[in-house]
Amino acid sequence: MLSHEVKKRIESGIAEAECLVSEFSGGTDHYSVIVISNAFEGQPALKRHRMIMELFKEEVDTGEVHALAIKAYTQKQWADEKQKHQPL
Amino acid sequence: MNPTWKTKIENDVKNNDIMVYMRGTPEAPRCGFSARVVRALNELGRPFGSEDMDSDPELWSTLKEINNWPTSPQIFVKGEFVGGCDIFIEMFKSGELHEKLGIQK
Repeated sequence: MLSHEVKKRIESGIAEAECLVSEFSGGTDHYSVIVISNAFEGQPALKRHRMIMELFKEEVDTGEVHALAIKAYTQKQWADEKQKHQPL
Repeated sequence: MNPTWKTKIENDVKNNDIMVYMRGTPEAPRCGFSARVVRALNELGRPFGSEDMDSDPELWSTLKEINNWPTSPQIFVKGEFVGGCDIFIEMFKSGELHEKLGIQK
């Protein structure tokens, strides 16, 4: 699976999501994603990860996607996260 | 679902505050995600149970079915399925894990 396909899958599968994708094995089966969406509001991490993994059920089952590292934030959490890493 | 594994998993999860189903062993993890979880656990300094998901395809398929979770590792804390590597590392970093186990971060 190609990284732009991963991005598209997530952004069309989760309401108003913005997705940043990086590939980390040198191939096309290990992806790390940051997903920002207010659809995660009030949802625990387990639920958020399930929402995202559900979109790749088939590819994970066949091994086409071996690994999907996930970080899921609401817009507010993402803004806080960026704030934390801002140089003073 | 393999009934022998199901019973063994239920017992292991009950008898270990932290139970990790991983690829390989804590001494020799066979996947980067499993290795990260083991590193965090070593830093935490608490005993944990582990089982090699590669030891038997039936174990993997039984776990997938029980937790409805398709990837490894899979981690239980105090009898509760918490998720995979990312969630576990997040809990470790935030102190949520320490809190669940009643230890000082």
